[in-house]
Amino acid sequence: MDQKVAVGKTEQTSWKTFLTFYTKIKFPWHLLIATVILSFAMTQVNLLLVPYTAKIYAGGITESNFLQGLILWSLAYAGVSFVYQLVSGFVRIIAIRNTQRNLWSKILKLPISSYDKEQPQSLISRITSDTESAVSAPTSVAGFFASCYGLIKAYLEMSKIYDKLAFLILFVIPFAFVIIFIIGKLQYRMNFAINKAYSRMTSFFAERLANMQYIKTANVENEEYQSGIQASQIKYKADVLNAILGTLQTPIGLSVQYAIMIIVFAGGASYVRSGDMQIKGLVEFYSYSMILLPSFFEIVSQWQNIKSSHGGSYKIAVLMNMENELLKGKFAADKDPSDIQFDHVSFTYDGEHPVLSDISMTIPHGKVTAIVGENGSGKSSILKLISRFYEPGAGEIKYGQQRLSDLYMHEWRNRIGFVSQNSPMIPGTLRENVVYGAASTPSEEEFERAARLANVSEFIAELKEGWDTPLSISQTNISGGQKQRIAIARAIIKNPDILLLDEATSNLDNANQREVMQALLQAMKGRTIIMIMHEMDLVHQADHIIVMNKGSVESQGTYEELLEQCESFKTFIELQKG
Amino acid sequence: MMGKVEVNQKIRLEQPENPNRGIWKLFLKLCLKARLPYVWIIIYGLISIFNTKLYLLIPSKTGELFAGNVSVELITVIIVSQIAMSLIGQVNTLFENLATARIDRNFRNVLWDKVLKLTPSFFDKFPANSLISRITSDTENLRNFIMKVVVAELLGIYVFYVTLAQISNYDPSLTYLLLALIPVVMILSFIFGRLFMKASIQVQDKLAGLTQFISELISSIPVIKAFNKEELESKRGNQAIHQLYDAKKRLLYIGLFQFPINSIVTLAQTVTLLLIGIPLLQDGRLDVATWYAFYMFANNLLNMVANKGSQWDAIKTTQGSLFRVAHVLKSPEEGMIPYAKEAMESGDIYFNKVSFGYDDRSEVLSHATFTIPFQRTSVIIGPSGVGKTTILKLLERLYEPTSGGIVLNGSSIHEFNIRRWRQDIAYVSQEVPLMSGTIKENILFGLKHNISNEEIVMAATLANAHAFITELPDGYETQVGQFGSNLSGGQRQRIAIARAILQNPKILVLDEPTTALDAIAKSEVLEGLENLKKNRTVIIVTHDSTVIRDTDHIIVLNKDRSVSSGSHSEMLVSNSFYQSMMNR
Repeated sequence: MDQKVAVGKTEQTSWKTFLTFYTKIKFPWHLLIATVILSFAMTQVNLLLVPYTAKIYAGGITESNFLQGLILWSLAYAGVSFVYQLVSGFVRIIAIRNTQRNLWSKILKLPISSYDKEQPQSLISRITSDTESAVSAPTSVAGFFASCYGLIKAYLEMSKIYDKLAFLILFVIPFAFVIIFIIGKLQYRMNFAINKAYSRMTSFFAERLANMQYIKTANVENEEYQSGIQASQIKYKADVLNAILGTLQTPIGLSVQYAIMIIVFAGGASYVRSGDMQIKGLVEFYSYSMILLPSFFEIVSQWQNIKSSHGGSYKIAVLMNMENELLKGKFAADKDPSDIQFDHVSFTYDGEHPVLSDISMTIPHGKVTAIVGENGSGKSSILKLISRFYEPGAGEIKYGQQRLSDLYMHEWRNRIGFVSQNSPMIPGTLRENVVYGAASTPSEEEFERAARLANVSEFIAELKEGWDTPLSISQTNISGGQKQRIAIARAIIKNPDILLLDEATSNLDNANQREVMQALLQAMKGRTIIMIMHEMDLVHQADHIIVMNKGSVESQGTYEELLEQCESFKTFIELQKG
Repeated sequence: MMGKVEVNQKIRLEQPENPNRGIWKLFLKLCLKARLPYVWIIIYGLISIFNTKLYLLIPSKTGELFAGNVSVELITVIIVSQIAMSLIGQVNTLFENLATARIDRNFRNVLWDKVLKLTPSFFDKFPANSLISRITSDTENLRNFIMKVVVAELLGIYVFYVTLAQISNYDPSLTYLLLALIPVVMILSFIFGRLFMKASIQVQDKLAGLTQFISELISSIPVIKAFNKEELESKRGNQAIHQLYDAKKRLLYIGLFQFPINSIVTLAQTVTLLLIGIPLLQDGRLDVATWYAFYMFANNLLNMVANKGSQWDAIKTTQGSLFRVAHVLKSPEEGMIPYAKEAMESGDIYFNKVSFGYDDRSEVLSHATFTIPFQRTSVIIGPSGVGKTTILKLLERLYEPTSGGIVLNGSSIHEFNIRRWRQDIAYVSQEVPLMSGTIKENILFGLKHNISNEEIVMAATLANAHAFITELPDGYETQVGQFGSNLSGGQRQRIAIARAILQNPKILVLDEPTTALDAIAKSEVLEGLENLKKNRTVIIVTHDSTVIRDTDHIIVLNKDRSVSSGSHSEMLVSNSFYQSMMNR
């Protein structure tokens, strides 16, 4: 809700942002200028056709040269429209393409904290629907001015025929603006209500459809049917309300049309009766009024277009202005492997709940360090901070003498292999997932080695398509344990200096777990390994253990030391032994 | 490394393969079941017909005006009938929209009813997103077919006939000339309609492909960053964007090509009418007023005909939506056929040479044979991926074995009423889903009997959940978020266990109940579970050796797909996997 207030406040500055948006995206200006010229040309030719239309209505088609003139100007109109469509079409699709490219590369540069705040759905709509609406403004501006020109010219022609009548129509115009303004507000509210109802209904179904197994095992099909009916009813009620309001609103909008018609027919007829005007004049007058109204509505709709384009481009501009991840650094990391030091580091994800409170500890290089503690004690955050997905709120993380925040991001991340808790896969085949870890195409040996160390080869052999098995859409065709092993192979193939394991083997059975960990520790001997796990006998293999408790370091040391000094550690071990 | 972006791959899965006539029959059945608002539709039709009478009146009167008759009566007639026709049209639109809203809602409800009855295997093949559009937007396309094609066409035929009759009143030869023009207009609009539609479908495809590509990658951002693949993914994204641009360019060209042809056709239409009219006016066979009326009517007629092309498009769109909806309507249901037995009986459950695979790519279980003893605690263990969770799902009857059988007291479990069967089983799955709502609502999810607050607290305490729930600011009224995302994995697991306790089932099934828990929480949950084991059949899938203490029966799924089972001591002696698991 705060966001809405913020948007309102920055309405004025947002117009500025709106304009700068077009400079940022390499907008095809030359084409736009052509579009403007063509819009005016089209309007002009359209005006030239009006007398011909009037002659058709009045039966003056038998006049000589009539047919030739009509054909000539109609073809001219067709030709100009053709070029207009071509040019304005290209303006649109080029602008969309350029914007999407910009946005996409921007999105990839954002820090992970931005993703936590934005729903993925909204990022997607930035690239798809918001872009479409954002780029349409310049063409709408051209159309807006062309329509104004058409309106004024038509009015002038009508004045020539009978200025008193034209003057009457002038009174209708402000009246029309008021009406359209009111209707616009109404329309906006109706659209808003419909969209809201639609998305409420859609998110209801989205959640249920993703959880069908749960619904069936919980035996709640009947209850969910009723809930579904209710959700559907929400949309129905919004549709009905919309229909009723629409029926009330349209005549109000059409009243402008009625007013003009009455003026033209009743007023015109009375002037013809009194001899002030010829019937031919009435017909021509009528024909020009037929341009008047559409131009008027065009103006209004172009204006509305510009406004909604403004909304879309504002959101995009906000995105473009977000801070990038700090990829630049001052230095490359030291060649010599160094200890990682946490120096009075505090951290929170959302600014409210502290996750790490003033922790100081050393992770020795070339050794195996284990981090243990209850769930929620901050263990995963430590690994994420080392990977620099987030920045500490206070304190420093150092690599030897260098501050982590001073190092080149890509170069640092190249040194780290991170196996996170839920082993996310990327869309593609199993092979592609493993190979994703390597900086350059790995050799067959490197590939086999990684697969072997992670115990992946054995279950690959059982799949029909083996390594080329694609991950299914719902990613259910391989088990949790299999995903974990693929994620481990992916990290191994990267050949990192620092290996971070966040409960990387939790889904594996004991035998597998032991095999994989042994293989890993053997293969990565001499490198820095930091592992989070609950299996206390694997923790025994660590050179250095850190015990976390509610965001602080309770104790650190060797297995034996901790067994003596640290209460929590003792408890963990005892519980494990049963 | 990564191949060229093939964004259409996944979308193709959705395209229908075999056209068949059965789907129109299904459509008819759907319409009958959905109880279309016949009354609204009929009212709409009647008002349309009435309005047509006014429509016939106006051009001739206006023609008289333009010919020179400026009497007050005529003006009044013209103005009043214009306004009347417009207002009546508005009211008519109301009825049309009301009918539309109702058809939409009824279609959605019928589809939702069917979706709830589908077998679980259906949902493995289609992502939730595509199913949503079947319920929300495909139904709208079907409704469009009814209102904008069927109803509109019927009315259109009436208007067409009436207009033609009016024209023939002026001069019969006009009618014939027009009838000659009609097929030409129709064919041209048809041809361009198809071309345009093909290109527009392509654009839709590419747009959907781009959207899918982006949404998949956005959820993989941590991986992209961790492996420094921003460059690569930037290129792939640009590929997808460029493909979309190309498709739009093609659409633009086709639209362009279509436009001048359209204008020339319209011009030719006008010129032809003029060529017809000029001699007739010169002869005196037509007067100016009648000429105007003829011109307006003829134009309307030809425009109606030209629009047939777009009707064809609407039909094609409908066909696409109909395929998808029919596919849902045709898919097999569960729980609707009469079952031989109602309530679950007491007895051992015997898996007899059960084989099963989720798809025909691989087989997960192969001739698995073992017993789950009645009112004992059994543990299913084995290497990962070997089928432990699958056994639970077969027991819960989310799937059926491809061969072999699961037997209870001599009868196949599939003879029992499936809803009652599931009611008597509490299934705590590995990735615990919760539904948006409060913690309390989730603990009570699906429970059919009345439960007091004390009972809820007791169950939560036994599940070691009460402590963390009371620490939350809103306690039991805390919102869990969509899919329960406001809570951690361990918290969700304990809530699910509390729910299972309240369900008081005959069979309790737990899939890896302790993986998301730290040592302390784990021991407390296991303590709570001890209380549940009395007088109940309990089945636990786990790889955690501490869970295996105090179990009566061990079932090991070996790597070679054979199954060994027995007591702890028996297994310790005979089974190598069990030995390695229990050894420290």
